[in-house]
Amino acid sequence: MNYVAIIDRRGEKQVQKFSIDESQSITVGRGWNCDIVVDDKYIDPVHATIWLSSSGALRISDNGSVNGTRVNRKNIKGERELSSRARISAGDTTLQFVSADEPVLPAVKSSASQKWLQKLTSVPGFIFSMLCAGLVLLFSIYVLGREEASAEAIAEGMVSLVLLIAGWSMVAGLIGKVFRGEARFMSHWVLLCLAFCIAMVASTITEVVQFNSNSDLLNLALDSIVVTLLVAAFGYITFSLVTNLSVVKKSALTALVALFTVGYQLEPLLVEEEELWSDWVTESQPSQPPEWVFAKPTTLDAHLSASGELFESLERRLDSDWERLNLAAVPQGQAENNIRVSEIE
Amino acid sequence: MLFRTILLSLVSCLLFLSGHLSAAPRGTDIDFSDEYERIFQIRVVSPDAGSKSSIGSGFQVTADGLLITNYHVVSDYINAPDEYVIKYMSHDGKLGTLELVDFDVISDLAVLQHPQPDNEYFKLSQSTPDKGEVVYALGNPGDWGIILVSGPANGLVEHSYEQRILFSGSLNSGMSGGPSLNSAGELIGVNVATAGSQLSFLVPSNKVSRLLQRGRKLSVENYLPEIASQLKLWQRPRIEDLLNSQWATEDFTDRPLFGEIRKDFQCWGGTNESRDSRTIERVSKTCAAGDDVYLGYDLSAGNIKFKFRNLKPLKLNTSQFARSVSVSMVADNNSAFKHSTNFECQKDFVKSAGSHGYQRIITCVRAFKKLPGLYDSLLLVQDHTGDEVFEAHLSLSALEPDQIQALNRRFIERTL
Repeated sequence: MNYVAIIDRRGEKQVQKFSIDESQSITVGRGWNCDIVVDDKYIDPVHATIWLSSSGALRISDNGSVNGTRVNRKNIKGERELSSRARISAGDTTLQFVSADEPVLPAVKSSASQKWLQKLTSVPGFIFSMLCAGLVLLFSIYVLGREEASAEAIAEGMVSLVLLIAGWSMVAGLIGKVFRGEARFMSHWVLLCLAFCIAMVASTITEVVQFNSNSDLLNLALDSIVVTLLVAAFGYITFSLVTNLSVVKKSALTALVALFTVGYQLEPLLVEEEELWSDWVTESQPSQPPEWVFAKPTTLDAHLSASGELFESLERRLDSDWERLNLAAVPQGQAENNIRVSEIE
Repeated sequence: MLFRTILLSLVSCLLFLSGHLSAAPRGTDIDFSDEYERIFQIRVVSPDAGSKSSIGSGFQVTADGLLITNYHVVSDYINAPDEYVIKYMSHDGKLGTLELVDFDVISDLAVLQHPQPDNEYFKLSQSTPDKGEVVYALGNPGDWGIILVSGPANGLVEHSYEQRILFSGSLNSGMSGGPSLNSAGELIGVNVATAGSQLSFLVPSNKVSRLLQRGRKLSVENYLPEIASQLKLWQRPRIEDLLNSQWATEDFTDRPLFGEIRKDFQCWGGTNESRDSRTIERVSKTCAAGDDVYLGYDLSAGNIKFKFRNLKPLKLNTSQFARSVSVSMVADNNSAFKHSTNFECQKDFVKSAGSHGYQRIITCVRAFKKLPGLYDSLLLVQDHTGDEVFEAHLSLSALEPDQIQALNRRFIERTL
């Protein structure tokens, strides 16, 4: 019978074909004369033997190797039958034997994001993303900034951006090397540059929307949604780059990260309202000409009549508020209190 | 002969001087020992905590046992009558419970009923003390005992809408609500506040007699509505007068604006010229009315304040400058969420025909939750002329909608 051995050494996959007949056995090991050769220093020259039993199933036995052999994470003593797709671990390597008769699935179409990432993980992509990040940085200093754009401030901004991107790429790359066997520094570098650009564009658009909205709650929600979406997207792509996890597991991890982000954003809302002062009018809102924020100028009379409606809106809010009802409860409380006082005296 | 004349005149001179010397510290001659015994310590006590939350002084003013103290001494009780009781301690350490009868939140006075009236009580003086007349303030500052502070009265405070006597003596916090007497032992005022060393304020006694003349007993559920109606009654003429008066023109940078629009307003100005690292040149002027009504430890109301700022970029480009002149406002009177709603705002751009730039007007109001019909308001007017920004801010407190609207309109029309 014809088989394929899939050899996975820390993410580096290799495939070897072999044939085996009943009463015949083959050897697995580091030695050149083995039938299946695995280049792993923790594997013995002739590590294990595999043969086809009379029932047609593959069986394995360890040849007294230094580090042992595990099937589906269990150490084997003597011989053992291998179910279809059983995972055999030896040293740093995992082996799977697949019958050549098993149908092979057609190729999976690569996703658009993968194609983009592949395209961008190249020298032109690298230059493009760096250029984009640099331009966005200059935009944020010259247009969105509130401080003087001195040469030092720009240099400082550039250096800290490069340090941040390089630092992140190193860390993420090392994590990827451990979990997946691939560092992909350049992918991380390009990804972070692009994430920075997208975040700045998103925050500029959000700001314009918030400028025109008159609801603090809506603005808070919008902030929370945008930040969470950005973090989740960046998180998912990074998990794809550094791990070999399935889509479900990656999604679960991403959801966890998103949950933390939402929690962090909503934390101020959890403070007990009674403790706070109502003195702040609004989070500081930048000044922009009306054209920049798609706002239409009005007249003084229109403004005053619109602000007259604020009083009615506040009244409606108070009417639905339990605080007003609280007033009626005072005399009853006082009566109880008088009883308490006379007891004390 | 000449010698005798000189000797005689010298002797008469000495006699005259000695007479005056003995008369000068008149306070030491006056026996206030009876008055000392008529001072009560007023305590607001939380029965749950078993200890006092605030203390002040008080004194009897009628034969039927009505006591006077400050509103702020008993404000904890007025704001939460089901959580506190008012107690007194007499000079000999006797304790008992007092009942709130009436109060005047604007003058900062409260009337309390003593269960066992004393035959001796303070009589009200019908006149205000002359400038320089020595008055004697009594009170119980802390738990050390009753003390007397003497000093000259200096007439009424100038920069205040409400009448207060300026007293050059050191009132301490526990002396609030104690009586201030003239040399005849008559009540000329009630100790109320201090602004530092030897600078204290008294509520004139005519406010006490006006409060006593009402002759009413407030019920517990009417405390908060009463505060609201007193504030409204006080604000109506105060604001109408402001709206009817011409606000005299005073230049600020190049604009014809205004400043101390009435006697109770005071203005201060400043620039940031001395800062080396400044990126914006800033000139500002702040004016405020002197009256701020204390309603509770986390609630005050009644302030009127306005501020002008002129900003010019020194090292910033147009966008950086516009963004650094951000819009944010903070209320000038204290109020916690349990007393006030959040601010709701109307933000608009206004474009007048003649100007190059644009104007922004932001009006924000919040309502008092337990004082129906009263609101605080914040107004911000910005004039972006291209190379400069002029900003005018008006902050109003505890007013009714029509008053806020009228003052805001007048303010915008005069500043833009």
